[in-house]
Amino acid sequence: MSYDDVEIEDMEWNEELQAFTYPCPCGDLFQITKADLKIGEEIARCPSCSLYITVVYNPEDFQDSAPSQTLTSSKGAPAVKVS
Amino acid sequence: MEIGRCGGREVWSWGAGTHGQLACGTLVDALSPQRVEALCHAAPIVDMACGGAHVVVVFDSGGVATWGRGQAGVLGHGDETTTTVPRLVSSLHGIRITRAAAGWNHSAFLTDKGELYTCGDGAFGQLGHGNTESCLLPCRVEHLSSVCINMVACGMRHTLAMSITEGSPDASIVYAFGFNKRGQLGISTNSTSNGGNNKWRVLFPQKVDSLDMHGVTSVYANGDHSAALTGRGKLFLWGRGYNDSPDSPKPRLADMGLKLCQVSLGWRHGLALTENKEVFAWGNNGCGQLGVSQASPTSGTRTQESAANQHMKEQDEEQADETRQAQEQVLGVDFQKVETQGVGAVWISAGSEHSAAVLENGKVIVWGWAEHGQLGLGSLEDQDVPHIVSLATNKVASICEVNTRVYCGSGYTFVLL
Repeated sequence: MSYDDVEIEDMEWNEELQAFTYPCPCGDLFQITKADLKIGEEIARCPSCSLYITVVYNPEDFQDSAPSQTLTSSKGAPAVKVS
Repeated sequence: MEIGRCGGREVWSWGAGTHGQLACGTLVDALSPQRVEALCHAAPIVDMACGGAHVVVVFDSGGVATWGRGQAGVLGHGDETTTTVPRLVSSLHGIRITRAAAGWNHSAFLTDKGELYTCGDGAFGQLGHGNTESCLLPCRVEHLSSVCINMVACGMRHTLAMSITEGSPDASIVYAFGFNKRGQLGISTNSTSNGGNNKWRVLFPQKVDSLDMHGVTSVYANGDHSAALTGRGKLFLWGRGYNDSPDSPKPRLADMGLKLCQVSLGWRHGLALTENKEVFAWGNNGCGQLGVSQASPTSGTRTQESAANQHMKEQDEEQADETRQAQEQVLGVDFQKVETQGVGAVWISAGSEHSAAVLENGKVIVWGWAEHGQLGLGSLEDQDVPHIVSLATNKVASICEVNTRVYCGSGYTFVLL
């Protein structure tokens, strides 16, 4: 079961890991790469434990063809769930 | 720099250790308690705080040592180096620190004069310096320089500071700063709005006006949760809702009808200790962190308050006390009594997803999430009821009864004997 739903705007870009991250209760970081987001992946995993979170974002924001736009809160825009 | 020696307390640690947070010179998890030799001969410890992956201890000399993941300068050593053994914070030399707090990735230090220093990750304004910069060394929160701060608490991305006016304990003031998206600051952020996600970042300490005159004597924070306890033992909760309930941006009285003397918050649950030495828990129980076995009937273990609430609801939903309903519905708070082996509890601590308490007899009990060995029971299995941790100490039991303290972080645990 997903530990939490986290909006992409609440995740932090980690240059070293080249991933968006969010604190995991084990002390490590949930991580998801731009490549993951581009293919519609919505699960960010923690490399140190079994927990994962569901990332809430608009996949269009991560498509190459889409005009660059700032990441916005999913509030107002429907959260796209990709299975 | 050598940590002063005068003997006294034993320190034990276990759980997640891959960032050096167990202070044993290693970068691995420990499933069973291990004695922290570097601190066992150190000066007496008067306070301890366990954050995301770093730890702060305060010695009775007023000195401070930190260790663990050094990202963003959270250890206060002027760099981002991870350290696996306690290291004195030399920049605080000459300043007498009395208390400390640790968030996910920031640290706070209180001096004997009521001055507040912070260091580490400031991306959400949680350092209170008026910007989103990180600090590699502890810096004074100048905005609070005119008040005497008595207690500080750090959540994942926010900080609470409390000031008690001497002589008029009812006139305490609570300040909050950092991230406020889940209402964890207890203030309205409309006035500080400046667009985007930035609008949730409060960069300077703000007064939590609604707590004025309630006589708050303690503040607590963890994850996106906040709490305050009054001198009369009443509990206020705000921030992220428990059990998927809506967030509460305003402190709400969570009245159990019992006088509380200590509170500790996790990322999805909370613990409260009553003056009668009982432990109550609320929030998510997915890892057993409430200590209330799902298999056993819970109806008998809830507080009279909850029972009365239930009764009222049955009697007439419409006419039930609105405040009580709001508290149940908004925060998802449903206090449940933790069975503490038939012995009174004298201290509690909630980690991110696990819990611990010290009993009157000096024993330490643990329950909840165990994936990193944070229960110290030698196994990775979650426990939904309290178990006693076995510490191979030579300490005399009578000393343990008086002094033992437990501090839980994100997936790890420390005990002071």
